[in-house]
Amino acid sequence: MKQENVQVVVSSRVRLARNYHDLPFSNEHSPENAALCISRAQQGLTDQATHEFALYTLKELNKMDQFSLMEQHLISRDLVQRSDIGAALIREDKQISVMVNEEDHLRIQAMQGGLSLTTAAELAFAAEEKLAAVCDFSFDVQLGYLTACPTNTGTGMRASMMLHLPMLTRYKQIGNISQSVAKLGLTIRGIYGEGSEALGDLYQVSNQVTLGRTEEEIIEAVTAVGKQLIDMENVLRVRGEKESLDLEDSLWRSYGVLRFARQMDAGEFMEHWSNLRLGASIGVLPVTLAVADELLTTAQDAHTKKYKYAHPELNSTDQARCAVIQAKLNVKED
Amino acid sequence: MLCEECNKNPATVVITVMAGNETTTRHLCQSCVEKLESNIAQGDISTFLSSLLSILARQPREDTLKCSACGLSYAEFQSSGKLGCAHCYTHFREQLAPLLLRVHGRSQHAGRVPGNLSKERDLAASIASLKEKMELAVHAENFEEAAVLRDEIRTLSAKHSAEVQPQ
Repeated sequence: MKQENVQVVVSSRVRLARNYHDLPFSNEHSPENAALCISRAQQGLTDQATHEFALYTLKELNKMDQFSLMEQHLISRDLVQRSDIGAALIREDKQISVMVNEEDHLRIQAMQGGLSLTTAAELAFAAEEKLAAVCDFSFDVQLGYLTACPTNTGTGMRASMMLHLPMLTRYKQIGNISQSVAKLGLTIRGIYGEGSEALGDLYQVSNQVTLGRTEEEIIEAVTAVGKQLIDMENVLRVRGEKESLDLEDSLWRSYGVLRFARQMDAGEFMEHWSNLRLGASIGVLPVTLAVADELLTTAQDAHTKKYKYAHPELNSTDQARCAVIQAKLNVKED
Repeated sequence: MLCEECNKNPATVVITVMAGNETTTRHLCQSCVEKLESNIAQGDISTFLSSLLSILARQPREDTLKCSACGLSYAEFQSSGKLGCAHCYTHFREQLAPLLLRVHGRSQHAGRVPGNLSKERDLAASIASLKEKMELAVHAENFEEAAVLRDEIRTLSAKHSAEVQPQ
């Protein structure tokens, strides 16, 4: 079962929004308050014997490094936009990241591969307890944890799953799914790309409602929808494999482009990446899921720019992207 | 008080509209109400409703409403969607309630509570259950047991009020 999950669910994530009770929210912050939030968070997480969290102060990082953390989903675009006061405490294994001075004082995020929201939630709550030991959070008996945006108040929790749904996209099912998911207080949207476009056929399912439901109910609802989508996607994958040469052909074509192209922009990469991952998960292409998932991060803009700086012989980011991909796909150049 | 529609004549009619949990009250003068009613007389219910809605939509209080803790005005919140501090939830409670209900469909938190508050909640729950038992004992004329329960409630209540520290 675990294997089937991983083939469709790229990762599971739980995010908790918390604010210290004695300070105004981040938008109304003075630089002193922002610094206080960082030192409190650091105290909560690094006073442990293990010292496993590293502090990243955004204004001390260059844009490339900031965006590189963003591509790893360790920090958000919103935090990058607040780079004057923003910081992140990131655990060594990158399973937990605590953003400080984002929209809320603290955004505690826990990430897991595959379908494992429960484990992610356990990690997030363990970190939350350590942080709460330093200073109490804003809490109201009726409204729960108070957040800068009223859409997060209550549990302050967002449970989400990143799903790779190439076949449901191919058969134009996402619109219907989106409607039925909304009825459950959940939402599904593309992760990459603007507007309705979902580059790489990657979607995020998450809860919209945070007030009036328990954390367990939220996790159950998102997990249930995730499982349903896995089943629907897998039915189409089995059918696609049996019935058509078209699918197999398009997967191999993408593999060919990824292995031999000399320059590629991010949009084109995402298109072929989706076929690469689908080919890896149904065993058509000679690639592992781990390699495909790693490329999803390392072939994005900030990562390829970094690669280009390390390799001065490369002329452009798009050329560097091909070098990154081909080094990973283990191509032997003649 | 002047009519909220024309701001000229004294308001003599109060209109209250209840939609869901939301109650809106407007004070109007006789002539403005007659204008509204003439729409109904002409059988034009939609004009009547739209003029009523436009009157109800004017919320003069909100323009000047401010959080006294952080200074954020309700108008600023309406444009940014972000509150300034935890006290905004108290100052704008009335305005936020329908918004929260629309977003979440519920209005009472059901999830985790901070550690110190959960102890307090347990204490409050045991006091409530003891009170219930005491009432049953009184009802059954079992006064000795009721007295024991009363003393227990007193001890717990003292502990409860000592532990409740407003945040």
